[in-house]
Amino acid sequence: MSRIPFYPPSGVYSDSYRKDMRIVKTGKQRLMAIAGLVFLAALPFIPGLNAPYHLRLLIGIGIAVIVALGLNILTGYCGQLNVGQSAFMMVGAFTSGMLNAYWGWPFWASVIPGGLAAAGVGVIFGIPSVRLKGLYLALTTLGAQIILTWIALYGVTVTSAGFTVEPVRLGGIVFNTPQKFYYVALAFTLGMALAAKNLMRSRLGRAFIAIRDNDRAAEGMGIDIFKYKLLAFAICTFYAGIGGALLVHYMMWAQLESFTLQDSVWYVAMIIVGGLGSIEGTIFGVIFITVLKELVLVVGPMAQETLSFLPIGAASGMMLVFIGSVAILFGVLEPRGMAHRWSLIKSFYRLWPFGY
Amino acid sequence: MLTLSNVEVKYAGVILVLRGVSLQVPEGKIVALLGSNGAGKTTTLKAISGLLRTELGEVTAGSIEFCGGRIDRVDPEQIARQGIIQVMEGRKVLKHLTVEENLRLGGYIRPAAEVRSDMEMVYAYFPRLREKRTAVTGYLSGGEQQMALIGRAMMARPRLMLLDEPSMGLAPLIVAEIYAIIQRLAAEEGATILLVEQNARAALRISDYAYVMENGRVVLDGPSAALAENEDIREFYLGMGKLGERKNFREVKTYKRRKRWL
Amino acid sequence: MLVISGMMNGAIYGLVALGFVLVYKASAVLNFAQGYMLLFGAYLFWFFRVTVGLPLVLAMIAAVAAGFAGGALIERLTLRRLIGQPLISMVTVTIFLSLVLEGLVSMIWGTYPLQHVAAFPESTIRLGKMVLTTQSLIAFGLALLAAGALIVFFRFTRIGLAMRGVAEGHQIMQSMGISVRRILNVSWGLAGVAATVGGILLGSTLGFQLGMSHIGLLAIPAAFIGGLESPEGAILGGLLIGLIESIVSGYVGNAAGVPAAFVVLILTMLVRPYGFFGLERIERV
Ligand SMILES: Nc1ncnc2c1ncn2[C@@H]1O[C@H](COP(=O)(O)OP(=O)(O)OP(=O)(O)O)[C@@H](O)[C@H]1O
Ligand SMILES: [Mg+2]
Repeated sequence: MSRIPFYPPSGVYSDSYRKDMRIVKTGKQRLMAIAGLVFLAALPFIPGLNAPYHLRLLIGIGIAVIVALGLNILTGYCGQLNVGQSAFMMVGAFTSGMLNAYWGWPFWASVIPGGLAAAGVGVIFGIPSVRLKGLYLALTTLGAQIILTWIALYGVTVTSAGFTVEPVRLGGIVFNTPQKFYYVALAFTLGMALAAKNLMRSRLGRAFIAIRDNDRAAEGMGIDIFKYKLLAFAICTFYAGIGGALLVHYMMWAQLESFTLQDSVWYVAMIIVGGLGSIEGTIFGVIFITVLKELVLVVGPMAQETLSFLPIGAASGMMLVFIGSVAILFGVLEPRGMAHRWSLIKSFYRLWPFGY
Repeated sequence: MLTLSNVEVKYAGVILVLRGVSLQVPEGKIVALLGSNGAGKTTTLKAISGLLRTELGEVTAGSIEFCGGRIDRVDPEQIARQGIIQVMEGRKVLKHLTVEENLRLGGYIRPAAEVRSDMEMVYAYFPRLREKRTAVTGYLSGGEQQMALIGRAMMARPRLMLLDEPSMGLAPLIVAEIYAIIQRLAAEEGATILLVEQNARAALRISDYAYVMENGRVVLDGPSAALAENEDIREFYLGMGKLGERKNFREVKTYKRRKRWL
Repeated sequence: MLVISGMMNGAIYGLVALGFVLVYKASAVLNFAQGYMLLFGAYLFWFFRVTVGLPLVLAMIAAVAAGFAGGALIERLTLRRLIGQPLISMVTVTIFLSLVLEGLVSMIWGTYPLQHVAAFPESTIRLGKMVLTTQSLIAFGLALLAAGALIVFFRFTRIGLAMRGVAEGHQIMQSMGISVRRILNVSWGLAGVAATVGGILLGSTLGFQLGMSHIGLLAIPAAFIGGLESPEGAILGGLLIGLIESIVSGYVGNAAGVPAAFVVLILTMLVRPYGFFGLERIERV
């Protein structure tokens, strides 16, 4: 999977690796980053944009970004496939939720255990398959989705019916409205994204890439493949767990329906559309798919009403067909995802008006 | 029958491997292509058979003509159906299939009615294959695998057979056996063969004409008998000095220099 | 009783697993859409039988033909364009394909179960203490028959042999003038056939409903236990999974059958990483 490297504008050069590895390279970039942050922070106060609907959408996007980032670390950087991401999210969600609801742990104390529990369960499912060459992790994660859902449904009484979870509190503030929770989601999303970006610039990230590109050669270079694949999978499921913990504290209610096989497939679609192995791409992909889903949610029932020949349930089918096709199109026509397009557009802008 | 003129080949758009190769294979003749490791012999064969494109390779200049038609832009399947069959180096048998199944697949492009009789012909040339015909090919010895490979190519009744290093890694006795069969093939069936070899001595003995490649270029060519007498060839490929004595290092160096100018 | 009914369904899983094996063998692609191809094939049969009103045998033939065309079309439109791309792109495409297929079914036929169609006469046979429906008996027989036909096809026909060849290396096949693309196309077509036949059989015993795809998922553990590459293995794997499913859901209840099948898949992976009937990998040179 070769990708076109992203070159900084001319005149910007690095005289050390350290500088070259920086995320923010130019003054202008720094300015844009700060402007973006200010905009995001001020958003709940901007009239027109601060409707609860928008904020809920944004919160959903933020949580999905966290979960999809984990998946992209595994798939994009390590070349393994996970089709049970939402089940691991569920593990994190129920762990954190139950710690809160039954033992009174506050959100801040239960979010990390949620992530760790997901990672722990992930490792159990990962061990049999990561030893094998090939995409067998896809099989065991499919198994994880089915087995974990079953356990939650029949094995643990509280999880099958759902239960209430307390909102996030910090000092005297209770984050129980979209306006308030928005900041929690924003902080976590930015934090987890930065962590992912940094992780992937590190030695670990390079080891992952080496495994993805050629696991034999990676082994030859002294990389313990088994360990690293498992580690990548643990990171992936940890992110899922954190996302799940956030979700239940936001909804203040934990239920099984939020974690289906279809949700897992959405996460795969998000990273494929956004671009494998790209942090920015993940964010694009999540936004793209989420907005598409919302669109279909609006258009679907309308179509169902006007076109009377459609059977009951056609609207939900429409969503599957539509988004599935979009994802296939991306997979077939632009395997490198939107991130690749974006870097092409960026370089076009930078070089304009002198193409090439 | 086959004409390459000034063929240039690049892999992945950047690695220039053939730098203008020209050669001809006349009908009914055995032509040998010699050269050291990495000279581009296999690449030349793949350019002819079209398999290049399955490895991101591409003919970027020059042309390849077969029986009057250009084939350098044709799919490998089509080229094989036109009658050019490549026997790849490294014993690429279908390991999990039996010998007979390998042969049947070799005759895939032939009318079903003739496959049986062609198989008998192959067995007549390679009696050992008949003995092993229900054996899984992956468990045959190297020599037997090589025979299965040549037999498989014969099943397609090729008008031109491209043979890549049939002697690689085989014991001298087996090599002699295989070469004898190749010679018989040419004599009895009138087969046209382009033979790539490291083993210059054997190749020069059975071929009619030979080309020598270095670094992606043809540096020398001529009738095989003449080449076998050629001083440089004798010294460099056959390991014999002018009078059959061994060379010292100083002299080898001068050959290297000379070789570059060839 | 559980054993018998398990074997009955198991034969169908085996049949669907065979479709999975067909694709995996030729192209190393794990086809996650196999269960949804089954769903689609079953609904196609329902369409021909009920909506069009064809007689039973004609409806089956029409559905099977459509299943072949559908499978081949999928290959033509999506996977062929990915030749040369990393395997992971192909596998993810099959995942999205399952969304599209499920979506199409619910767009065309809705999400409620369809009116029941009996593919075969319904009566019961007593065998000692056991009661069997002719339905499931015929389904069992047909599944085994179809599977046997495919095995014979692999062994003795030209194109079946070519498929086994393609599984060993695309370049070798091309060097012999065999079009790998065509073979892959036919593989997908046959996978569609296996899915459709499985769908018809499953639908006529369990009813035509969206949940069928979930049952089709069982083909994945069945194929894996069978070694992913061997048709015989797929059938045996299917029977085994059918057995486990019916015994576990009989004793544990709560739809534990499907999770149990995946537990077995994971355990198999630990003990026999390449299944029980996979090709012995010949690694000598
Ligand atoms: N698929 C490929 N991609 C990139 N480079 C290649 C590829 N195949 C061959 N090459 C390069 O082309 C050059 C010539 O290779 P080729 O296989 O044609 O040599 P050869 O003459 O057959 O050597 P040998 O006698 O060792 O078989 C080598 O330097 C090799 O590295
Ligand atoms: Mg070679």
